[in-house]
Amino acid sequence: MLVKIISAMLDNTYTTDDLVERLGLMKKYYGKVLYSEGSTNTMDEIIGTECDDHTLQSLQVWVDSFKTNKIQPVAVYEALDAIQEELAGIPKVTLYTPVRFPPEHVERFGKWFRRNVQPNILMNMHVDPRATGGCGVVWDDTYHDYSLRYYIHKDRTRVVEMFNKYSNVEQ
Amino acid sequence: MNNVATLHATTAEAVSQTSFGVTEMLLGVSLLVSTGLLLVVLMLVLRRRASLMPEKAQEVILNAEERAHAIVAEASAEARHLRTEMEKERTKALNEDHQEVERFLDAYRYQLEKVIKELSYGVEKEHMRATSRFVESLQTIEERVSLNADEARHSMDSFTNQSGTLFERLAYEIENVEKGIQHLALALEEAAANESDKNAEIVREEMKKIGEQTAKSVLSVAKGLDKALQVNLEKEFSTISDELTKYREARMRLINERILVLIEETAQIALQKQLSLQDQADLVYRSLEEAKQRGVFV
Repeated sequence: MLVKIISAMLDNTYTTDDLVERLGLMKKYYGKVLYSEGSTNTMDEIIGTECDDHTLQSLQVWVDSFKTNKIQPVAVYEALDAIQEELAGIPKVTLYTPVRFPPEHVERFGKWFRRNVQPNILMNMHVDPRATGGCGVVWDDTYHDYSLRYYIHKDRTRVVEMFNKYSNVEQ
Repeated sequence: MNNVATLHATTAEAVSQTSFGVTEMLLGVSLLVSTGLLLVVLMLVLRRRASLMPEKAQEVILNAEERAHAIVAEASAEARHLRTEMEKERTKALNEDHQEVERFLDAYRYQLEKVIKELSYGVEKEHMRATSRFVESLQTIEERVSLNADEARHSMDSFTNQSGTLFERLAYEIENVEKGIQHLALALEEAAANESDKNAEIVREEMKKIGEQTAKSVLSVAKGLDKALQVNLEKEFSTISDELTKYREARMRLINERILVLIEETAQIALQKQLSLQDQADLVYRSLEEAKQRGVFV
């Protein structure tokens, strides 16, 4: 049961921050639905003011998936705390990008990692201008710089020759 | 001057004393002669008294008295004449002495003025000569300083623009030396002017000493300045050469070590502003593929 719930959540969630946020919103939503008498409010009415449309749509996908997999809302609600604790066991990669990307790009990056690294991996995303021209990645507690700096050092000899050619400096 | 006055007074006193002695002596002689004649008349009268008649004797006595009075009067007149002559001689001698003293004083003043003029002229001439030498020496030094400064400036400018600060410091030092020499000249001239009013001879000797000392001092300053300039220039050239070497080394090191950082930072600025979001995303994918190929995720 727990695995199914987590799998359904990870299907459209690729970052740790999004997952933590959505778990909180889901708890509030199910709390309202399950424990407020006579409540007929929709998700949008309950948590629509606390998140963007993309997040709201993603949460709606979760609910639909739970229904498809015949997972009762009560079971999901009671599993939320356990899922929060299980987050530590999910593989993670930290990605430094030079700019802040919108959700669709974040989703593509997540899919790339799940396709090329691990199928259920989560990303910790940070903005760092030093990652210009590429990105920085922390994997297994090691930082890997694949920014412009990496590419310049990679072609160091050619770059210096070109610089000296235009600056007329004798080496 | 005092000796002349003393001489004059002594002469006048001597003349005055001599005049009184002769007059008194003449009066005394006249009185003695008169007294003698009176005694002779009295003796003759007394001898003839027995034989003369009272009327006759009375007549003789009257005649004798008249003659005696006449002799006394004549002696007195002679004495007054002699005294008058003596006074004239005395006055004449006094006048001659006075004139002689005046002539002596005139001659003395003339000689004194002449000596003073000669001394003043000599002092002024010596002063002018010393001043002229001093000014010429100063001009020579200033020309040499200026020439050295120009040469130094030319050399420094042609050597490197980086030496500008060092040359300004050198020029400032040279200017300080020039000001010091000018102050020395002014002080020397003022001192000479003040001294000339006091005592010409002393001033001339002092000016001579000052002139000699000034020549030595100026020569010493010139030598020192020349040597200082030469040493300073060599030192500055050496310093500039070292600084240029260090600058070149630092620049080469900068090029070798920091060129990539410079390019990187420049590209970062340009890329962040010019790349679209899709371009940025493509670069991320490219980097992720590079990491994958490098075996980062294995």
